[in-house]
Amino acid sequence: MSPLGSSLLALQQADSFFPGGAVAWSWGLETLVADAHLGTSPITTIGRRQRGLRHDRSEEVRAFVEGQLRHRWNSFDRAFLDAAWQAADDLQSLMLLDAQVEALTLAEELRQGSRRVGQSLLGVHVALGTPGAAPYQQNILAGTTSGHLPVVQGLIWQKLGMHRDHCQLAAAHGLCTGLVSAAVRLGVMGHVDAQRVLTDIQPLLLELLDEAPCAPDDASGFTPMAEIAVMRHETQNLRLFAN
Amino acid sequence: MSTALNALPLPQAHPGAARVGIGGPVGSGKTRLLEQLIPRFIARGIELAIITNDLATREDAERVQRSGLIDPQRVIPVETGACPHTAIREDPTLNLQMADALEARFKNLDLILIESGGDNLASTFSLDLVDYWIFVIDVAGGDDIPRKRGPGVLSCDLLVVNKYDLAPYVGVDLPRMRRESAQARDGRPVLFTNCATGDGVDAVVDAISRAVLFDQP
Repeated sequence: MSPLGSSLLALQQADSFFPGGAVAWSWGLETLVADAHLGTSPITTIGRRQRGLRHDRSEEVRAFVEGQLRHRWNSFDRAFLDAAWQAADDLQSLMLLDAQVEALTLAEELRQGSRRVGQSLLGVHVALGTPGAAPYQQNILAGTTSGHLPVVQGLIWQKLGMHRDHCQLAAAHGLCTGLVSAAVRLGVMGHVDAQRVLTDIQPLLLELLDEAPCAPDDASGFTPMAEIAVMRHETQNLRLFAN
Repeated sequence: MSTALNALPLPQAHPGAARVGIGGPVGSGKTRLLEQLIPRFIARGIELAIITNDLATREDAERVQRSGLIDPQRVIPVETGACPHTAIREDPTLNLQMADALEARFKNLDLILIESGGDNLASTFSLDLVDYWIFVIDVAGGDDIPRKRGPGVLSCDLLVVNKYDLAPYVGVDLPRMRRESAQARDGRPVLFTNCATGDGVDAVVDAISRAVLFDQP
């Protein structure tokens, strides 16, 4: 596939309009907001025409996105996405990668989130008739594999013809967009600050992508605060998100 | 000479219109509240304009335009593309554009009331769009709404519980609803209104005025 064709596919797959089920997941952000770890919004209102002067929490959101991008996606998910892309024609290898993600993801809520988003994405591609989607879904339905997000992304996007680096770009950008979108819906920031965070994170994203992904055997994830928040999520009274 | 000039007070630029959002579920009485607010603000000498985010028709805008309460040209509808949440939160740009256009057209506007398209309890306004926002629920919608602690109920600047007069007819324990509303709001303001008669609306006008029109005489 031409670079432009692959870029176009990446735009479509990374677009928040693409129905991959990611909209319902905050990956710990909702609990952190509820526990005021992202700062608190002011109780008192301010004078007219002073919009934007309220306490700006974009730095806290940016730090959360950076943590997720650097210490969860880049060092863990990316390794399995890339390995799945290379093993897209080898069902046994894909299932082995899926099993590794399952075994290495400590928090139940993270495992469940990765499985459910992966299976949602796969379901859309089954409906679209994307090659390789239906057979992999059969294995999930049969209980022989889990359908974790990075494995499904690697499989499906390789079958669509997306270039290896475009897959990583789409996955990383989709993660950042999803987190910032969740922050907007949680009332943490407005639409302009959200885009500012996405713009500010781009140099880091490109720096990370500039280096080769690690191998699955070297994969690691370390986001303790977010993981504890994810684990505490199920006991929260108010829950807009699934984790 | 220069000292004397410096001593003169600088001319005060008009601060622009305060923008106040009115959100809440369909049927809770947002448009009725608007109709009660308009004459009260006009009577106080407030230069006012209205934006309505109609869900599927222009009915709310046309209702306010035809009410005779306000110059119809000061009432503008905004279409929401079937996404009332999005138009006031994730992508409020059309509402911002309309508010800017109203301020450009009507100089010295003090207040723009922005009515949302009617949504559910998760509806919230972007603080990039409004300075202050009100969430309207109603007694007939069920006395469990404050207990459900939706983001609209929790995070608005002012919670208005409308149609309190209907409590005996819909089996609602009003004192309990008042108590649970106050608990959910944790000290932030809650007002009870009957927008059919205007009962309680003066307190809403006072709350808005205190919050964003404090520079008015």
